[in-house]
Amino acid sequence: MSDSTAAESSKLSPAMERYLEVKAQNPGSILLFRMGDFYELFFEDAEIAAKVLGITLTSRDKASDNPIPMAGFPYHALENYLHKLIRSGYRAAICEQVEDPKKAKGLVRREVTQVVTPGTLTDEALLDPREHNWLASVFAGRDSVGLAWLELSSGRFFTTDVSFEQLPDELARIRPAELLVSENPAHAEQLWPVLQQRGMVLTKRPPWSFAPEHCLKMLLNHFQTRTLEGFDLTADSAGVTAAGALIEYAQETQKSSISHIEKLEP
Amino acid sequence: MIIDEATRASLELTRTLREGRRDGSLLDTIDETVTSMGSRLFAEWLSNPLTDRAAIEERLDAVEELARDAALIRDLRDQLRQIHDLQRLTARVATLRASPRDLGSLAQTLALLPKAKARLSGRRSAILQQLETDLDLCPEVRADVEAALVDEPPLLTTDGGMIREGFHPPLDELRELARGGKEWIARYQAREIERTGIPSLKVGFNRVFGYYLEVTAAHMDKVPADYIRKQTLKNQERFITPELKEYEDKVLRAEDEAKLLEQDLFQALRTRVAGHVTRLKNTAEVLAELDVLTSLAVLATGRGYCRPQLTDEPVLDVREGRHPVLDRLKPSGDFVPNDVILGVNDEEAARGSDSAASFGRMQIITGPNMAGKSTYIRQAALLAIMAQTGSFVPASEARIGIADRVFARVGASDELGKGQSTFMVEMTETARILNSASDRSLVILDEIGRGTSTYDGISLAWAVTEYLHDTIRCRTLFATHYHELTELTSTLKHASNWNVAVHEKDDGIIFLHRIVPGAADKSYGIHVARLAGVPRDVVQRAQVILEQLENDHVDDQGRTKIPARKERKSRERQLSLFVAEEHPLIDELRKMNLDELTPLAALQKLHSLRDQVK
Repeated sequence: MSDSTAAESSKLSPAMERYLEVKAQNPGSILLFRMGDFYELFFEDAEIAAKVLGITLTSRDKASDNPIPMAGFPYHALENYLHKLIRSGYRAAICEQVEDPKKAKGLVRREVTQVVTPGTLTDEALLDPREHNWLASVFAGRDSVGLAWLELSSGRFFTTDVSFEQLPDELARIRPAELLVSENPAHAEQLWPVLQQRGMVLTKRPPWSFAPEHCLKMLLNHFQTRTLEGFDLTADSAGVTAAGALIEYAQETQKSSISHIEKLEP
Repeated sequence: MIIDEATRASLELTRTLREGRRDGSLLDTIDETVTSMGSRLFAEWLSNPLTDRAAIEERLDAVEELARDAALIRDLRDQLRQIHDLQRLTARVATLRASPRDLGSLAQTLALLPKAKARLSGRRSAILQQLETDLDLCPEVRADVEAALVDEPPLLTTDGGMIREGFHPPLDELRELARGGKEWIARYQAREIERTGIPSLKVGFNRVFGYYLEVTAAHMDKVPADYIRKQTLKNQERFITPELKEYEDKVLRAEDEAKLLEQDLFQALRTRVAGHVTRLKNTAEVLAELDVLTSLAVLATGRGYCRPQLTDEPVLDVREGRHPVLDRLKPSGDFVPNDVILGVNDEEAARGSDSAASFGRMQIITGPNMAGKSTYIRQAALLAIMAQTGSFVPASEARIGIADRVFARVGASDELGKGQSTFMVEMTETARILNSASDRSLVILDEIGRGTSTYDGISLAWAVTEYLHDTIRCRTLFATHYHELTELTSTLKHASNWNVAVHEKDDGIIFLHRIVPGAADKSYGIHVARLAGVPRDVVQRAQVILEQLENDHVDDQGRTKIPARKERKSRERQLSLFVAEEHPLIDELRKMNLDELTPLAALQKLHSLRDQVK
């Protein structure tokens, strides 16, 4: 732990300041913060990890008045612990040291390189080889429900418009590992019961990420096309909006190219 | 084919009902694929059975052609077993997350394809021909990776050892330099042994100190003056010399540079391969489909399945059908097969069947629980789904009219956690069937109306059955323990009664699990009670009560008293539109301006409204 010596002072160490900054940028995720050969978790995350992962809860700055709860595991155990976290329904943001500590001037630069959620797994070790792992998104339009589903591990991407009555059947058919929905969806009184009763792993997104124009733009940008007619889709369908929200989320979590998603199939 | 949520769950297509596990589901039982890509695609197929007859026949043609050629199946599966998950490998290449080992696996997979493609040439089935055409061997990708990477590439990009000797001359030079330095160091050890006269002197290496000379305690007196002490251990000491450090520097620098160069070369290779992602993805899809079709051929030949004959007529004619899951659970030959014949006209049905009963589109199956009613009706639905997936089916012969939807209202699914009563769930599912089934649908019902009182239940079951028969006119299998419903066949032209054959012995009864024409023996419950050793007094008393109850509810001909169903005339229906006229109060309510009403005025208004209703 190259930074541990810097933490002795009563004020927050630069590393902890960076931690809080990254944590604030990734709300809702358990932050795995790389420090040398360990991934460390702090505060509430540490308490959750101690429970879910069965690792020891300790604290940083033990001598000070406000010791920080801390837990961690060696870097080579990441896969195993990540698997447990995701299985237990948590999301994890992995913050790596993105420069060589030997060459770093001062604090090593750290960035979130990947956000892992049940629907965005791509690591072979975390996936069941026999099962699809669909990330889906649902958007209640004026007179239909848009549904889109995407498998990041293969790049397959689909969308459709269904009626409210058909929605449970479609969800039962696709069995998404994670479902995106607006925090404040239209027809909420119809939508929530359908989603909540079925034990779906729901990820609530801000309402603007389901704004139809914004979603269309996301898709056109991703596919580098001017219209979606080539995919046999109309721009104003609810399914297209659901698909756009999905692409945005995929970009946010992957932090790397998702150019393998080459087409959107109706 | 549309399959709703409840049907999907109760038929346990891809997950079991109770535990939600893949094990024990239909998918798990009939999945014979050997690749993970194939397994995923098969789950998709089984979740989305087709309704286009031509498309289903194409799949069946491919399966049949494969099934007729055991050597072909064996060869293809030998190849398929060795391939890696090309779909997910390709995605990792595209997102630039692929490891050296991933690229190695990709090349290994591509190397297997020419053989598979050769085995596919000259096939008759349209799908097999198409797969052969579409199977892109991607030879450039394979050649590129094979030339650049070693045979068994490491998992990490950082430790070197990925790039093949001879691929990139500058890399070879750096490696030569490092190797030369190491050779010098080996010679240096021999030279120093001779110079110092310490036979056990050794050159060692660790990450902290780099190269060092190691001398055991016994020879410490012979250490020359130019050795610089670096570390003292229990039984030996470690030294360095300027000369050794000089070569160490050369070796380590060359190794570092070589590693960096390897990383660059690997990244360039990965980017080149990423340029072929679309082709690789298509090839992956071809392999997945080939695996599914081959596995269906294995299923067809290995378990005595037959090719279903598909038709657009609304029939279901299965001879010696078996439940695909239970058939596997029981020891071979123990499962009792059953014919299921619906919607076949009598003349046709007479062929080979042991009964002269009519084979209308509706069967009412009565008999005690646990005797095999549920298995029988589920089996029919599963066979239709399998057939429309493109699979052979567990039967000696099967003619299956393509169903637009399959509905299964089976048992009381455990939805109590969702805050609905069992009966409400049952009626919701029933309502859905009655509202959305067509004459092309296949409906299986198990114990409708069980969650309420007996009369309530019988009445509902009766009315539902009539509606399915007269209005929807779909193929229906209805299992019930309400004996009264067997009388429906006297008024419903296309319905027939069936029951579970029972063999009685002195000490008990044996369910033969065979479904035979005719209604079940109605005093069956009392019969079982007697056989089970319930005291004679109780049995006799029960018999008397039963007779009394029955006498109260039958007419002169011994039939249950139930009013005949009236066909609603179209005129009545139109009239009913006008009957539902609005009550004048509603208009008055609508006109009220609540913002202007004082609480007192509101109360007075309420009074006057109530008086109007009185």
